[in-house]
Amino acid sequence: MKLKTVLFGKTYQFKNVNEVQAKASEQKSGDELAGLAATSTEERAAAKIVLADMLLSDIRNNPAVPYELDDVTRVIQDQVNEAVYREIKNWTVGDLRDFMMLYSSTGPIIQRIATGLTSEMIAAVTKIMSNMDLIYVAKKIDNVATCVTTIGQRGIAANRALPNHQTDDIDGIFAELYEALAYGVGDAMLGLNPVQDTVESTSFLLHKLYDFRMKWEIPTQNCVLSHITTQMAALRKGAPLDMIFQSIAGTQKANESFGVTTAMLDDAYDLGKRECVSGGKNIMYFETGEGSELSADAHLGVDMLTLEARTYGYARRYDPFYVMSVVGFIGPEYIYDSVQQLRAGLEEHFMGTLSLFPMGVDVCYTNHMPASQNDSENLALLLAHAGMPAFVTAPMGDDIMLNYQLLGNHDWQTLLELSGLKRVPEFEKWLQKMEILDEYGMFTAKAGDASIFLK
Amino acid sequence: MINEATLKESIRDIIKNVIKEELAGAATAEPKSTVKVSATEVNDSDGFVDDVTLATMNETFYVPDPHDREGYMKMKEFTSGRLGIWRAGPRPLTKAYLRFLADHSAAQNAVWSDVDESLVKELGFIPLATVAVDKSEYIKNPNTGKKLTDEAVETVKKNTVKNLNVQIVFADGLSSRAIEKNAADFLPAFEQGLKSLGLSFSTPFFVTNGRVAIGDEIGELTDADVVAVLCGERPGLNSTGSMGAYITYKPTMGMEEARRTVISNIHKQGTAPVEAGAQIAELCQTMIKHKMSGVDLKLI
Repeated sequence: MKLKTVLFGKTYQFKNVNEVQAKASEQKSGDELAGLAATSTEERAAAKIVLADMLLSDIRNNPAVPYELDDVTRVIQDQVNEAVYREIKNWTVGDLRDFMMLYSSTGPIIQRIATGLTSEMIAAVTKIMSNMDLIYVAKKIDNVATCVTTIGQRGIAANRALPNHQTDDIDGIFAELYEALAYGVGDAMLGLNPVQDTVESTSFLLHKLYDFRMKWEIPTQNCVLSHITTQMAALRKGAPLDMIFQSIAGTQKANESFGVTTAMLDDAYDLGKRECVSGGKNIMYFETGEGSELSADAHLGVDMLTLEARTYGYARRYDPFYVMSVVGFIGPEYIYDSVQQLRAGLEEHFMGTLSLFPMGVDVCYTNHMPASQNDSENLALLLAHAGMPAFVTAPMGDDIMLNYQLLGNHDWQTLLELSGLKRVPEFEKWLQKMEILDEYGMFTAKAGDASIFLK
Repeated sequence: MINEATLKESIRDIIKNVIKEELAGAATAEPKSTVKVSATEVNDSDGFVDDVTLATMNETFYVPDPHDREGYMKMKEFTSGRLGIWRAGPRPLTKAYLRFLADHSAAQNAVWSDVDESLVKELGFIPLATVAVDKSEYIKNPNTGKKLTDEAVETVKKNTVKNLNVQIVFADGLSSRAIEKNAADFLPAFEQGLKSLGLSFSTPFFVTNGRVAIGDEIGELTDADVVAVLCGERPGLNSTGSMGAYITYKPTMGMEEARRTVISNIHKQGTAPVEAGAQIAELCQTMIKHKMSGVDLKLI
């Protein structure tokens, strides 16, 4: 393995694969905070050059966290398709990048190769790709998944309604839901982040959402994002869950800080396959975010992007309906500003796509980040261009419970019109039946009037 | 990359230079031409452009011909979300867009500005600084907001009152606006509450670029029984000036977060500052009685 290079007469020597990976990462405040980032742009370039020359087998044999110590590593290594891996193990990371760009490398061909990759390889190739490279390859690949409805097909983009409320007030939640639907939002899911994490409250909310979905015959799926143990208890008591949610991270230690183990996720997956009322083949939903390991003091000297890729590798074990990264939510100490947010959003969508499930990004920022709604709109346009299958929006982008800004409900129709993407077909038909959309998928005069649901 | 602080600084420099040049020019320049150009008469007699920030979100309603107006307005009472704001084509109306911009500007300003120095003086706070060199470093590296400068450590030592029950600390946290809006109402109520319970307290410290954990270092230095940190919370669009109280019995640096008792959402529309002051005074008494705080106290 080569761990050094010379650039303009200066030698750059790296200690190990983790150091090369960290220093090859694009600039992010979280890696700087952890003391892992390159200290100059030349050092960053040198690390990328060394990384591009590394064999995929070098990366396989040097996982970011040792196999014996970490079950995220074990999950990732054990799910590699060995036959595919044997074909490509002598490729360099640079070879992998070039391969994915070829006209002959279609989506299915790249999906096959992806079964032979570990998450660390996916992170590595991401670091030697430009923004347009990331968009170009991601756009080739369709990862399709089904809960109640199906997302991820070519040309289809779905969107989650986010009806969060400061006190879980049921009238407030439904007001936000009506508003979302009136703007044609909600085909990815009606997904609520509750304030109270109790079995009673979660069950109550799930029943309410289910009854609503049934009453109005809305072709979508519901989720109440309480802790996985809370949802499992609710499910065992007969609550109507379409899918099971959990926040996950890229090391065993970070997952433990979330109160999550692999055994627990396995149990949830088994339970969900038997009990989720959706009857879908994809009944897990995960949220992630760069910096969550560092903030839990569980990053183990690994850079944020590699950990994020490992999180997706871990998620893949459960064939999720989709995975969503909350890119600008964790805070500016991890993703500082709009430049870092934009890059991270494109990287995450690409890495999730190579992890073979529908990948979404919550395009968002907090108010202590130097970023604005314009920056989110820019990233949303790029992600739509990359064919991202799952978005999330709130009224005017204002999450009144979590106090951050994401895309607005208005942005959804605009984004679809600009990108030529379509809603989930059954959902579009439903909106036409409700006279919110016309036959061309454009707003009718009724769109934006939530009081049509007050019957 | 230009960050906010350097940008502000360079703008300040430019303005300074312009003013300097103008002053210099005013002192020496004589009219170069005798032709008189009359200044355009500015007519400002038509009053104000409406203040877009006055209406609450519950009152704001732009749907022109709703299916059920009364029902919609009732529905809006249950949430402060931006509902019923209508559209132009698929896009938000100008007035809804501008309101968002105004609210976001206030939220950002709450984070990136400092508490007015005259207010700190007026309230008699003893000012302290952390090792964060500026806002940008403070935001990027939260640890810098948890450590006092050497000078600040000396100031704390000099102002330490022995055998004190409650050490009061204000910190800007993530919203200077929170301190500006709530400290003046909160403090008298808090001090009055402590007095009536027979608890001793001293002049509050005010920490610029200070996070919650700065109270731990101050607690170790002063050895007060309880440290109450009043800190600006991360602003949302609808609440830029919300203050949080983090109260701990005998805090130590690096302790578990679970040892703090938290009262959040202190502002006029949340828990009123005056009420919070009385409530927290009682909480201090309970902590001193049981010699504990945080999760442990909940279990009693």
